[in-house]
Amino acid sequence: MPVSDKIDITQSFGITPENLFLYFIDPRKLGSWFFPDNCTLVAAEIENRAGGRFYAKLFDAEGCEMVATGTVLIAEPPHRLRFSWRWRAQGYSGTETLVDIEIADAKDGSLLHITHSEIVQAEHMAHVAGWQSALKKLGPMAR
Amino acid sequence: MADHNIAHTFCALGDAIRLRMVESLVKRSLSTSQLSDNSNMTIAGALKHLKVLERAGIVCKRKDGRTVTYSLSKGAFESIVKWTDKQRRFWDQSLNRLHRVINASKR
Repeated sequence: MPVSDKIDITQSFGITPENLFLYFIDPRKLGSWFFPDNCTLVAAEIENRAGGRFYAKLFDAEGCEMVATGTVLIAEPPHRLRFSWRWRAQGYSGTETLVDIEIADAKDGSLLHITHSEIVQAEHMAHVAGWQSALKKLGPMAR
Repeated sequence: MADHNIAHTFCALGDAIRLRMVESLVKRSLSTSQLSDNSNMTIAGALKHLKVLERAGIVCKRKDGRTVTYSLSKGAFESIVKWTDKQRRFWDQSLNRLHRVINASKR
């Protein structure tokens, strides 16, 4: 069992990479789509510069506040964005994760490729590894 | 566990103390004071972490007289292992909306 998982999504869009890139770095445009169903987005921003901030504030269906924060590591319009992502809720932080967004030219528009993976730190990894082996034993019981 | 608790699961397990608590609960149920002793914390400190795990659906508590015992909840295995599924749902549902927004703007 791998210690960390990676999300890998590829989709095509019928608009140019320049236009698609705006849907990430223009806060008003980002705010029109960047939230899961049953959630309300308060604000979202991915700054279009290395060292800039990533920020999203949402409320879930129960009215609990969820905040995602991070730092933009790479901004190369209109083809590439990389930023860190950490969830915070109820005063506690989640692990830091890394988002890579690549927008390539395609025949009828753009090809969007998103990967989202965990940034695995040594201490966290040791715990997850120990705990996953314990969970393997638990698995059949817990289901 | 309900979908809308996405953030709770991430936060619940992103902490070494809480991961250790979950590890110790895999073997058996433990009382609040056992859990606080194991992690060298005050009862109040342990309770704060246990509350986070409880709200994320990872542990559940039972009261026996004056003793409160914590154990892993039935859905804990799925909640924990499938955290990437929840983050994936964030992207999938958002990207579906992005397609709709772009199509609407073209009309």
